[in-house]
Amino acid sequence: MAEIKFTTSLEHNVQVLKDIFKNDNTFITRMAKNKNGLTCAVCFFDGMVNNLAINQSIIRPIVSCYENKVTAETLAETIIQINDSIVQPDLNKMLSAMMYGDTVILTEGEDKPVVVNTKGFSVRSSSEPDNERVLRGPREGFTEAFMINLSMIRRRLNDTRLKFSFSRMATHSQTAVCLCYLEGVTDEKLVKEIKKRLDSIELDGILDANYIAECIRDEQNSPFPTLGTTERPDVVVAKLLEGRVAIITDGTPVVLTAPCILQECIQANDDYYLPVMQASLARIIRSCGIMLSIIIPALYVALLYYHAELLPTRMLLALAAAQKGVPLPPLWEIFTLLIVFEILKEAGTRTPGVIGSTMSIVGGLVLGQSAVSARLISAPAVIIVAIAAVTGLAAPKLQNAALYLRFILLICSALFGLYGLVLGLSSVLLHLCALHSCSMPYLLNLLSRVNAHTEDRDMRISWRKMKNKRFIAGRSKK
Amino acid sequence: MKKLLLLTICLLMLTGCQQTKNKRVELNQNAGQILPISALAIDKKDNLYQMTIESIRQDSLDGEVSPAYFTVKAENFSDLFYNADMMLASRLYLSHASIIIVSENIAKFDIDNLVNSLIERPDARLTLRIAVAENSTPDEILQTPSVTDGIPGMALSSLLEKRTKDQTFLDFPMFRILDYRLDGRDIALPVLTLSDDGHVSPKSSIIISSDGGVKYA
Amino acid sequence: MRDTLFPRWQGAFLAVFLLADGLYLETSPKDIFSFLISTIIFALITFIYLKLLAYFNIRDFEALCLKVPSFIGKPLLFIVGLIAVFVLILSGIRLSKFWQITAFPAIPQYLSMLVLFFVAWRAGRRGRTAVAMWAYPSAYLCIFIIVISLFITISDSTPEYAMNLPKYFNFGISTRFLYLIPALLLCTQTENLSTTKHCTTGVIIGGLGLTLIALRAYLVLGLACSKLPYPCFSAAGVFSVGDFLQRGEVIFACSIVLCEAVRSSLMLTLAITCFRSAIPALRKFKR
Repeated sequence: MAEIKFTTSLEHNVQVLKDIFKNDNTFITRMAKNKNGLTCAVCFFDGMVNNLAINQSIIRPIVSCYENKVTAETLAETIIQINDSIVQPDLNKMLSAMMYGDTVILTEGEDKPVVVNTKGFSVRSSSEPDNERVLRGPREGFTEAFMINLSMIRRRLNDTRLKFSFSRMATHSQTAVCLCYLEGVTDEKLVKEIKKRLDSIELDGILDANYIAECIRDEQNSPFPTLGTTERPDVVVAKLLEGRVAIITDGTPVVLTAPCILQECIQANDDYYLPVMQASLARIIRSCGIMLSIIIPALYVALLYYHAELLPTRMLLALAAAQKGVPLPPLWEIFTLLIVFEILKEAGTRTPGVIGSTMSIVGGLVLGQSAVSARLISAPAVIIVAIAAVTGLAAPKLQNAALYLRFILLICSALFGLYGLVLGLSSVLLHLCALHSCSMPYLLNLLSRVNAHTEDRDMRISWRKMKNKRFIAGRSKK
Repeated sequence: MKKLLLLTICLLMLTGCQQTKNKRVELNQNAGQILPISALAIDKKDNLYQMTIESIRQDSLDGEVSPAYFTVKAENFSDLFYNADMMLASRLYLSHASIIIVSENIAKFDIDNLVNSLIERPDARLTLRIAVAENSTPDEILQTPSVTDGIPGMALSSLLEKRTKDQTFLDFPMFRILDYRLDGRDIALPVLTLSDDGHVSPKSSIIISSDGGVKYA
Repeated sequence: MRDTLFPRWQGAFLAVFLLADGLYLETSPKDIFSFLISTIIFALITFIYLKLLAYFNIRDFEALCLKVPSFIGKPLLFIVGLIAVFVLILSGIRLSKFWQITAFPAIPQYLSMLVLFFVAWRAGRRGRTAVAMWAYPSAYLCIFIIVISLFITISDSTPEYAMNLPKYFNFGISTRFLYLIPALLLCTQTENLSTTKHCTTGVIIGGLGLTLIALRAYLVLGLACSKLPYPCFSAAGVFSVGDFLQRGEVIFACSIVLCEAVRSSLMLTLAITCFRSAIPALRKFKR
């Protein structure tokens, strides 16, 4: 940020600001004078401010007051009629506040500006996040507006111990980032660790939470998420209650939570809003889904290439018959189809809704059907890839991991059949064993039966019984 | 370095085939390249063993499953399998074969050799059953159409399975034959014969003692 | 939790270490008894060794070697390291041979050995905590598969072999169990986390598992065992669930191969630990 210095001359100070924003047409300076000769400069950015507040609570009181000379303190405390108005001697902070919708008031004979909160930019209204829909439960989602997001958390957690710790990050964008935690519940070491990691970020701009996530997460090369992401305030509050910290970034509805362990990846917010029996079943089905999604293509290839004896005779014949006249061997068929599926998925993500659904019909149904009848691919391969694709959607947080693992296990089983598949899977398990998120083992509660919180793991116990048994990150079981 | 190593391993595995000990073994053979066998019939004629192989094929996913028969001859059992393998464009795959029909002579004198040559093949299953043909040759029994299944071999194997369960026949899968023979005990094999209307029917058991003596039970 | 070796995990790796022998067992009645007796003896040895560690307040074998004069401790560590390498290579050889005979005749043995060593290296370099942590779910999975496999082949066994078993009773000790000693050296014992109970249980589970696997092979196949290269493997495949899952021995073998991978990783960990302690120059290499 530019080095600037104010003097007691209003004209000079205004000129300094005009010089800084000289090619910026949104920068507006309004000189306000009263009858007794008091002159103030009201500086703000067009479009970022609430014009009504400036007109009625800043300009009107200045113009209609009787003083001929005021100090910055008097201006802030008695004249300006806005709740949040302070004297800001730090000019860098003043500049960033102004650029974020605050109004700066300079007055003759004062080198300290008054910064008034007049933020009034338009924001998107809150809606239910598309990728975290629930059957039943709250439907509010975060927006791009920072303070509104914080208010959504505060509204749900009326606790004096809820802390919001602000900082500005990135040299150019000066993005506001808030570390949110529940004092007394969250482990202090965890808060310190996250603060340390946040302080070490050296970026020029932060446009989304992922910029931060990639800088602070453990094990950058792991396909498994080591930081949680959500767009729902209810989820953030639940994580805070479990002793986690949340990192809220300005300009994005995505909030990061840390630490993130594997059991979270198969939990969904629905689990807590639906009756306990239904929720627990859904969680088990989700775990099976993700396992199937990873294993099925590899298992198909292993059985077909190395262990045909495990298949019933007629099934083997049918699979062999389906292979006849098809140009690619099964392994390459599955490989190609998986890649095509990923391409279709990628294309579908970027296309507008209406075209997207048309494309999935053309891409998935029509193409698949005709490719089978034209003997370009075999029907079993299409079925296998379809099962893998659909079951993979069961646990959206693990989709990235599933994508990688599907291919890795496919190669393992193509090389060494079921043995390769088992060794591959156990290597994945090994990777998970060594994985940590903010010094917390990724497989926490899943591996050791000592001190494990099993109440909310594979099955959830009812809220009535959960009372004192809740899992708190970083705290061992009583 | 690690990537290079992985790449080398992948390349080594994805290529070609290798000749090992006179047995043709190909890498990465998928289900389309193997020929599943459902049953075998072995007889001895003019000092040569003759094996009729019932293979099963299906040409399209919704097509019919049909049996196909071919016959090979050789001086011993290992050569029989080798010759059969060499005849085919696909690999002879015994994993799904669950019955072998032999003539009484083979049951009496060659059962040990047959079992030994079968267990040498990793694809032959240990639960394979051996039945003895009576009043007709093994391949006649094998090729007789069945009323229950389009594939005679599979029908015969279910028939034996069922009759073993209801204890008409004693349970003598291949591993038990091997066990009893090594112990010097008698074995009992099911006997199949052609009935008057031209269908295969189970008859009695033939009990073979270690010295080759037989009696019917 | 990061560097804690929980007692259950240690029990699990001892059980898995023993179960890795499950494919290659001898199946004569004499051997079956020797497995049973070795299980009891080695469970006792485990118990006494860990009790002694606790009594002298020594954390593990490595700490023990550092306590004795270095002219004894260092060569001892070095020798144990060599033994670990030997056991690792032995595992590699027997597994690659098994694969060549039963599943992948065309893959050269050295290549399948490399695969095992690769998995072992991936695990072993992470240290024993990670390996032990990994062994825990692996043990559950393997024991589950083995128990199911034993259960479904009961109907194919010959009862009279079971009746005649006591005739062959003898007091032999199986040499296979000697390899348990290096694995035992990886166990830790502290006041907070006493491992005696779980490790002894681990050895008993592993030993009984081996005994039952060998017993099953004998009861199902009888004398045919002598004609088959891997009787314990073949015996697992005589069942069928309808027309599906016939010849399921490969599923049984998969669980044992998983044990073999854990066993190799444990031995690699032991070798790394020993060599790093014995030869200070090696410590500068990162894991």
